[in-house]
Amino acid sequence: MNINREELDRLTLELKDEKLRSRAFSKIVEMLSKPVYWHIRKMVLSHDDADDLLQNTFLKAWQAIDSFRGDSQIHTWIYKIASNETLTFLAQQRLRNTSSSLEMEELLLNNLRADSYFDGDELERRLQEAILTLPEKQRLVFNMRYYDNIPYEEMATICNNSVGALKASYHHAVKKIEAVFKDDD
Amino acid sequence: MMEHNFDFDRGSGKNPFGVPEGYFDDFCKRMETMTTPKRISLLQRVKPYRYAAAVIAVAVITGAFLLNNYNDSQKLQTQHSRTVATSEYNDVINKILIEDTNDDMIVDYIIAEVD
Repeated sequence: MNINREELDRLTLELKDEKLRSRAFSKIVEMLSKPVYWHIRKMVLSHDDADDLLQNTFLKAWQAIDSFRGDSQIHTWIYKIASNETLTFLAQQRLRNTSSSLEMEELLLNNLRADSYFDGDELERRLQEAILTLPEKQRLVFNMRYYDNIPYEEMATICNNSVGALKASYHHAVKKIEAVFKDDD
Repeated sequence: MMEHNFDFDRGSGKNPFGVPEGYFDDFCKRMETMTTPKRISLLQRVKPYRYAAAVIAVAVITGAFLLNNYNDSQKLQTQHSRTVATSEYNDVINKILIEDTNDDMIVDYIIAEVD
């Protein structure tokens, strides 16, 4: 995650001032919309769904800005909201459209195949398909670590989990993905 | 086995997804519109009061008009009642006078007037 943390800290202070709040929040959106979008997009795969969830994430953050006490950094707090929004969306989608995790995997695979904004080659598409075989929370951990290189300590705050558990989860995720590639004879 | 060169230990995966052109700029503008408090002019701020004042004015004018009409009709009714009562009174008096007056009384009255 390539974020200017000093600038974010300064903007976080400005959020406390009612006169500067709106402008500071717009700057935060400018800085975080890209990484948060990719975080969501890698989970839901479809651009339209990711766009809706990104908007919901920032709107929820804006509405709850008074409750942000600064216990964690603002970007960690927004990542946390985005993760919750995404996992809730996937759970609702599963309830609405499918009855099993296999059907859900198929639904997401169709999203991936129909996605006109997928720029990856065949190997990358295969990797995405392998990632889709993971449970959702493990998928979240894998994406944050493999694609965004988020430190385990930050991931622990975002996921409400221990560093040890997250390291184990990532390790298992990699094993499962390797196994999928091994089976592709 | 399908060969790959993904380095899962380094954690520097290439993002295989893309977005429509100008998406992030548009998104930031959209969010700015949604989170910027709208400035309300004085005219807009007093708008509800203007509506309330208009409603009250209409109610007062309608009330005054109805009250006025009611008073006029009351007056007409009273006048009419008075007219009816007066004519009825006159009829009764005339009737009494005519019925109670005989020829002798009329003759006495005329003689007295001549004198």
